[in-house]
Amino acid sequence: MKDNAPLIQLEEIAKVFNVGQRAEPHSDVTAQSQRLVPVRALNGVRLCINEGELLAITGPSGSGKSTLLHIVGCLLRPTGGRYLFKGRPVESLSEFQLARLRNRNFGFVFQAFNLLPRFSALENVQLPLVYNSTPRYRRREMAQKALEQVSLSHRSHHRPGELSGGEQQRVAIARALVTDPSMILADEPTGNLDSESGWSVLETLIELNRAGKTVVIVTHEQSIVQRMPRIVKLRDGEILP
Amino acid sequence: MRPLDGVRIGVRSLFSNWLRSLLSILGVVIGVGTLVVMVSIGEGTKQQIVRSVEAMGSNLIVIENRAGGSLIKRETPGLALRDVALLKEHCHLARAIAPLKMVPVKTFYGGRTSLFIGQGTTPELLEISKLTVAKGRFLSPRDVDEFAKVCVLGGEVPGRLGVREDLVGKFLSLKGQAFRVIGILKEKKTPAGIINPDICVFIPISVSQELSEERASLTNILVQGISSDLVRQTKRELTRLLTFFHKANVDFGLWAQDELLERQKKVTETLQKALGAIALIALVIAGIGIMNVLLASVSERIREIGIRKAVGASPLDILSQFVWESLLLTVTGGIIGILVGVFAGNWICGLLNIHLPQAEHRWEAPISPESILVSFAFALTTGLFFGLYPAIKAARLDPCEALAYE
Repeated sequence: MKDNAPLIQLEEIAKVFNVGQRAEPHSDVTAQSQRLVPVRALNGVRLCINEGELLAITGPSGSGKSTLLHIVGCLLRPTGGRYLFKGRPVESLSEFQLARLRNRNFGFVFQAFNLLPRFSALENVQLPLVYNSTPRYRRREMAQKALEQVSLSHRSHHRPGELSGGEQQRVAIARALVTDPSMILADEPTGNLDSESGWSVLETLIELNRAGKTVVIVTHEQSIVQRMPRIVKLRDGEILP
Repeated sequence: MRPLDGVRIGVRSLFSNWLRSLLSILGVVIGVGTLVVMVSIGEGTKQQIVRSVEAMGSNLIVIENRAGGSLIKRETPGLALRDVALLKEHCHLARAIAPLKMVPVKTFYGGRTSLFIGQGTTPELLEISKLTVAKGRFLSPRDVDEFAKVCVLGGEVPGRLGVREDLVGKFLSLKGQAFRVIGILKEKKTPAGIINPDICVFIPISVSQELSEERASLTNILVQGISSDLVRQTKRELTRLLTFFHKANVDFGLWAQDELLERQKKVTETLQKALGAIALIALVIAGIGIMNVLLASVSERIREIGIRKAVGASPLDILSQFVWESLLLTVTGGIIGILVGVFAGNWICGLLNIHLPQAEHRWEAPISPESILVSFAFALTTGLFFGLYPAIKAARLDPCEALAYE
């Protein structure tokens, strides 16, 4: 990566989804029900994110916030435009290469936590390490350390069903941290939490940023937005000036 | 992802719904077990028949009756006793000739009824089929001439009658008539030519004609040639003579050991293929069951697949996870199926040997390392083949859609 190059550089990013349209009344059901309608979720988005930044992406429902976050995290391919990660283009990478990139450079935190219910907290945190072939004994050590970072090492053997919402989200944050990624991408991380737990999670993310991680939070909550040093506003798939 | 991690994930997944996994494995157990049983019984039959034909000796020629109709009721007599006399007189390349007339006989002794193969014959059979008398004597020319109601028992007959006492001198009821037992043969264990002497009851050929609906016709004529080097010439001579005796009516067939071996091999190979095909159908059905289970598993775990992809699982990692699950099911089922097949094969043969004593050979189910390897390979292939489609479906899931799945 070039020394002053942004960590993430998006140029004219577009994303179009083809969604099925419902059959209209009194119409030919077969023809209508099969029609796919293009929906433009993002349109000409230009965005640079530098290393160590803390920013919020906000906007009304349907503005394309989550779509933008998923593209940043290489979970979704854009339909058009250019994406440079550490100065290198991402569009030409194969699915295998994108998976590797995701594993090593991005940690996701989701609104619904997305923990595996039959696995313990420790096993959930270890999951990214399985996919970069970390030896088993190292995985346990690293996962334990990540849980200590979020003050949950004493609950490592509990399953998600035995943890509160806030604790589950902190396990998810530990999972996001375990591979020591460049960026933490949080999609409505406090959406399913009460205000106290929500603040606790937010504080954890801010602390991680202070420790050097680049953190991007998608949120519609104004109380969170106001605390962010940088805000990116989206409406109808476009960044507002 | 390391292969061992793939196995661990697969094992965990199978245990999470152990009942469903068990039912899937059961299908494979039945499929592989059936394959092992069918192949081993088929192989046992083939080996038995090859042994019996090889035991014939290379200078033995078998003449069979091919007169039209059924074995029970022929349109013309075909082979008859007069052919034996004529061949003895005119064929100089034969050392010994013996007729065989098969008559199923219901025997009654000591309150027990059993079904055996009655063989009407002459004293020459002892030498031709290399039989040994354990007690008493074999049939004599006088027994044949005088239509004596006497019989010689095969080595296993007393046991199957449930008798421990010495039967020589005792009377046995055959087809409602009293026959005196004059001898008991030593157990041969292997068939002697085309008969299994251990389960036969030998009676004079003249008497067997009286017991049969078709008095005149014979089942076979056995000819021992003077030399194994002259078998071809002996066959030609016998064919020429019989064609002449039967006035050009070719209602008989001849073969020597090598032809019989070839013919029997073809029959048993066809049988093996048919049995193997049945077993493979069972395995395919089991495979379809596994595919169904895995497809259901993929549908239930769409969100989980999305989570795994989000944390860095590649499509290949997801594919290998489900392929491992499929392989674990089929390999476990395969191993259990092989064990079940080995025991079932021997058990079935034991039952057949008890309840089908009139069979020409003993049922055996030899297990060869090759058959076990082949069965295992089939189980593995089933797992790979039927697990691939669900695995590909899982690998192709879009991670964002999967994460949003309710």
